[in-house]
Amino acid sequence: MTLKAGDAEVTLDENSSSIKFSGSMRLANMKEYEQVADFLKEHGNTFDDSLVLDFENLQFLNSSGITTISLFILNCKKNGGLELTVKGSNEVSWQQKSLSNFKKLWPNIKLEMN
Amino acid sequence: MSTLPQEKILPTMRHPLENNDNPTEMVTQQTQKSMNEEVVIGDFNIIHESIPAEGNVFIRLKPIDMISYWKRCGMLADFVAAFYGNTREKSQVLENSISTIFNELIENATKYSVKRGGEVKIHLMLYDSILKIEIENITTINHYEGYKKHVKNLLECEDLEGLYYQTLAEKSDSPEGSGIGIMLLLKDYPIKIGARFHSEDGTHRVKIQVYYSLESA
Repeated sequence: MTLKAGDAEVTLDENSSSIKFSGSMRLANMKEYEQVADFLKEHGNTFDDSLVLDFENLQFLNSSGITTISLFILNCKKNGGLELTVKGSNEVSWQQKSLSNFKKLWPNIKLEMN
Repeated sequence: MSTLPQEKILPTMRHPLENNDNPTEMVTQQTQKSMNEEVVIGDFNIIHESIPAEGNVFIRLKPIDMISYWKRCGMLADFVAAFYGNTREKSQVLENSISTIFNELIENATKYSVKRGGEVKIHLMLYDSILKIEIENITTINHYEGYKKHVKNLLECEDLEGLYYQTLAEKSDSPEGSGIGIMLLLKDYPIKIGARFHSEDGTHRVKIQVYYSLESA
């Protein structure tokens, strides 16, 4: 299952129990990010007790997008019971700078940087 | 960012409104009518525009061009990033950083411009390895006042990390606007930011300057 959001794609990958982001996600505002928030909300619990958010192939995510992902993580933290892994690349500047913020939001997150 | 050539070039060329000693002090000049003002915040003009730059690019655009086709913000950011980033080592990481920084600035400038008669002026200057990005737009009085307060609070904040997580927590109750763009840049990127808020005869201009070392990627 894949959501197309602007120049980005968000894909549910059952083989790796992950939601994979790719392309460039720079939607105009929080309202436009509702589709992404809804996708995460709908599919975030697909794999029962674990989920990987894989950003390695996402070249850009603007601040509205970072806020959207952060709110999803805060919601996971609030609900509990989910083992969340965030994957990223040190070769992509925004990931290098900003993915560690997710772990600060919820220290239980496992952060994997390649 | 240690490579800014401030000491070499600033002492004899300071702008009257410059305020390098205390980057968060606000200077207000009331002119003519009581509503007219010029407010300078943070690291504004730490490299003054009168100093010849090695790279010098001007771009003017109408906000409607960006609003009507939002991807153009990203396109422009990628162009600027390639223009000044791909001649260096680690160009992929550098271009990604420049594009991310510029994109946040141009998104803000176009999103909050007045609907009619608006214009966004972009001035890119290169001083050795320092890229100075300057973006000016005309905005509404409400956004002008709100943004002035927001930028001042950010540049005076001693705990940006704390403010960032507090802002996100508040968003979880009311996720309307994002409002963390400039905050994220200040928190996560080795940049210096200055701003000038200029209101005259009912026209409210916001000019944001960002200084970024191309050697910091």
